[in-house]
Amino acid sequence: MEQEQFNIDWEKLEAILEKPEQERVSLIAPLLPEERKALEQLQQLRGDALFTGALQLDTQQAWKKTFGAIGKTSIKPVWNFRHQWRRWVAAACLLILAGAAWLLWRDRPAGIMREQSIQEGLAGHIPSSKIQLITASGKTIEVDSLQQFREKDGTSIHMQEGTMTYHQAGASHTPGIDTTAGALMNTLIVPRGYLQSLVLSDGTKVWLNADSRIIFPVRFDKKERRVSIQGEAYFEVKPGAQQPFIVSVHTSGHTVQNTSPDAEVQVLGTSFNVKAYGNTIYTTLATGSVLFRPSTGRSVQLSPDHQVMYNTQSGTNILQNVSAVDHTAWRNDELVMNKMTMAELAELLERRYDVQISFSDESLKHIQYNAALHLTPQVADMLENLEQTGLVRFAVRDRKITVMPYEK
Amino acid sequence: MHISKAHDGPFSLASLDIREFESLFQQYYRWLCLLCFRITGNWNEAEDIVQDFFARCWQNRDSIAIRESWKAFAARSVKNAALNQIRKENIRHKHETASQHNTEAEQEDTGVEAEEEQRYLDLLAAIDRLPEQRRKIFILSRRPDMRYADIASLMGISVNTVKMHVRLSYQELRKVLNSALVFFYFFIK
Repeated sequence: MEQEQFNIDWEKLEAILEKPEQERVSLIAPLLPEERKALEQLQQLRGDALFTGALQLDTQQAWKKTFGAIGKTSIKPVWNFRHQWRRWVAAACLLILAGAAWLLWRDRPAGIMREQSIQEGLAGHIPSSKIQLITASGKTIEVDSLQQFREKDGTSIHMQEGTMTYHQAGASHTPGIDTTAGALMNTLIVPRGYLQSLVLSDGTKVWLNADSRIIFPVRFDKKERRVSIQGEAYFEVKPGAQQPFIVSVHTSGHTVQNTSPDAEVQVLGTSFNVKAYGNTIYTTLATGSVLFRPSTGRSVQLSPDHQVMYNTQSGTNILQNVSAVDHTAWRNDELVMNKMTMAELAELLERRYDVQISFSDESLKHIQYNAALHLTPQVADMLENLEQTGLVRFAVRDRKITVMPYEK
Repeated sequence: MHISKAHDGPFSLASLDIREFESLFQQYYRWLCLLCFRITGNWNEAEDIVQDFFARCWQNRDSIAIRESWKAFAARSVKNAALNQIRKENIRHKHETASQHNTEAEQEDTGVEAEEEQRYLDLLAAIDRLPEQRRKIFILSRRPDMRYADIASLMGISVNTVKMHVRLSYQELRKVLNSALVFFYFFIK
């Protein structure tokens, strides 16, 4: 009965509705039944003052007015007193940049329309998938709905202030719990757009960055404590001289299961960061000492504030001095950019917020940033802050972001 | 839109993080304002009531137990707040006799009213599903002070593109209207 493919000429119908009552009758008469029905619906849609009124409400503005303060109160300063001076340098840099941006901005005609479009274009943006835990039995649990879970060997898993915490069952045998079960492995998958912290059963703390995963035993009863990661993670390893802690690093191209790692990091008790998104593995040591063992090439012993860059394609590694705090700031929502290119920054933002960023012009990829910025909860705010630097601007269309040259 | 599935069953606000709560706000804000406007007849008052409702929900999210669906809970809460607002104003203005009749009639939730509310919710949701640009153009096109040429120059596109977006919006909204109209015709007969 319905002609789905019927092509309605809405303009013609709208024109009819604009005409005075008497003229309409003669115009409606020749219409097809389907067109008359559409006309009736159109009239209903247009005449509905309630609906039209509700449509004009600005939901985004209302949200900002009512809840604008909530997202902002959760900002935690990452800087410890040792690096307090950096904060002032960063603040001064931002002030200078803001001043420069204002000078450029002042000469812009009608800049306000577009500024809104970043907020509107990305309103309510949420990452496309959620954080998942795969248990030893192969069951998948969404971590945000996880309250408490017990593995087959009695190890309990629960959320403690947003951190997933593993507790080994006591030594005494509880009926119904099989402590003889072999090493039970869990997998935690953190998709783009999220961070997740985790306390393993030996007390080791792990922070996983966006687009990363970790495979680990529910309890450590072997002579080694061994976990596998993909992506980026920061570890604070609980000291345990009898059980060395070994992190197997897999670059993103490879699946973690059934392949040998691209490198291993062996530690006793220490804190360090491993990043392996592309073909390069960056291992940065904050405290203690670690041994970096690539699958090919020689091993490297790292001291605090050392970073080793290992290229999995060429098998070469480079050791350099860095500020480890800068490379671990991500877990506190801070971003420290030392000669970071726009291309690198775009890649980081894509992971962090689960967005798509492209460039209108290849040359924009080479713009360099030296700044410290807060990674805001909402991607739209982050882009607006970056625009303040006056180096680039962002256009949003269908939720896709394009980096454009900054125009006066 | 990923939490929509939960809205028809029992619902816990305590489990929501701020992003999910924001998505709830975005999906229901206009609709709840519309429900309030029908009672108060004033968009500003309606917005205040709904913003206040969401603020209280977030503050007390751990202690609010929702036995019915989120949708029913939200609608009932804001309607009651709107009715209270009217009563307060009536007492202040001493116009009690005339309007109190109205408020009592409003309180009885008839099937027709619930159906109409659902239709508004469906229509607003259908508009939110339109692609960004098209939605913006359609909303602008519903304003009495905006002609197609005005929208075209505001958005920096041609009048023909504006027309195309409005046409495609109508086509999309018709799908919702079709099912709603079937009900209305049935009811009139």
